[in-house]
Amino acid sequence: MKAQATGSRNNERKTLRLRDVVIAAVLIVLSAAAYLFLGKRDSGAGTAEVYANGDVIAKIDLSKDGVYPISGFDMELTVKDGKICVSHSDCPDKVCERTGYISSSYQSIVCLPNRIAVKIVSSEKSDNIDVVI
Amino acid sequence: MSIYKNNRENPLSAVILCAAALMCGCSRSSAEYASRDFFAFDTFVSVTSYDDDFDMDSLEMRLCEISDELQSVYGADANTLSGEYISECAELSSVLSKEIGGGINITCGALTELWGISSDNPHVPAQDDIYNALATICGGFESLETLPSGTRLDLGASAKGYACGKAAELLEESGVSGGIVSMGSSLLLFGEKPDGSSFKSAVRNPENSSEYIGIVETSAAYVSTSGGYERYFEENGKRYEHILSPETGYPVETDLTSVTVIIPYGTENGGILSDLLSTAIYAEGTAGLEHFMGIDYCSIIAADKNKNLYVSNGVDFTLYESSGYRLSQ
Repeated sequence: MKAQATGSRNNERKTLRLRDVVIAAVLIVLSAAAYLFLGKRDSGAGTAEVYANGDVIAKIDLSKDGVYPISGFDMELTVKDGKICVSHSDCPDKVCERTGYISSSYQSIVCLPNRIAVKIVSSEKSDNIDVVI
Repeated sequence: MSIYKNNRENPLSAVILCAAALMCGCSRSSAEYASRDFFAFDTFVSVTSYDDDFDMDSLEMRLCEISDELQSVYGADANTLSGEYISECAELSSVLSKEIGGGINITCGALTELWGISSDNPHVPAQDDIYNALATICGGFESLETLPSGTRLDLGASAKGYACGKAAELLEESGVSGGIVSMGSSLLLFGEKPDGSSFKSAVRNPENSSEYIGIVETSAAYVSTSGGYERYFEENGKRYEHILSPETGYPVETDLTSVTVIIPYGTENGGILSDLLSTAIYAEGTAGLEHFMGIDYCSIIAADKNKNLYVSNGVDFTLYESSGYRLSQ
């Protein structure tokens, strides 16, 4: 009786082991695929969104250096080395120009007089932050 | 037996754990949660919800409604104003600013308008005009109707904090599990994050607002920051900041550059208090810090002109050494 029981348990263990391997293999393949796919999407210098009065009017790839005028406004953005700044604005307070370059997720530049905001939406540099005050 | 068990069963659990860890690595960063951005309260408002089915539209609508009503105080005599939010915000500001001390007076609207602080054309006014504007400031009031003609409101030190409190009421009603409402210098950290970890707020470096001085970790809370580093103007080579003293009629003279106040969620009037306190502490400078550090319901992170940081006991704050700031003992 005792021997039989052990035998059947051993069998069960064997089946389990086979199933284990299959589950493990599937999980590994799945997570590797997900990791590669999602990881790829997040790589690179990141993206900035430009908001006019709360609506997204442009998305800027921060890996492409250049000067980007904001259409409809006397404002200009400059992208350099994965960072972005407001390099020119006709607003009176110049708070936006003074903010300087930003590059990390959750950072934003706001021009209140023109109601323009520039927000980093994806970046490798997030520092694990939820919000900026 | 236990060793055998560990050896045999752990490979699978280890694989599952690895897979789970990888999956977590792929889980959404906060930037990918439901979010909404709009202009209100004279700033860029950013709302993040940790639940996808959260009704952003109604929150945005209500906050814009409150913002529009509070904006109407500018350019109008206080005794002609009406509206539930104006009365509530103004009366709370009046009572609370007296309670906490520090010389905030919300009836200094005529002075703010005179300087044109948030207008297109800020300038140093003539001294006579400053005296006239100072004369319209009232010590305190019960209700708006009782204020004399000519007295105007400035809700700059309380509107955003007040709105964060209102946002909290709306989020409570919605049943959302957690989220963040950011109004630039005032924040509401609501409920819980999906992974149960603490909220991590980066505190802006007053010398360079695209960098941080450190990160403060909290549970649900109201957080407000005051500083003169963002809104100011220069005339004849002198810098004039946007926070005016109701005593002198000129921008406050302070040796602090940035003050962040954290009030735990659930504290009565926590939102508006965090806003008022950050301004009051900023205006008082380091001389007033000891007094404010003694208030038991709030935590403070204050930076001075010599890059010293003053942090209340018990605050989970991680300094960024590279910022050049150092913790003062």
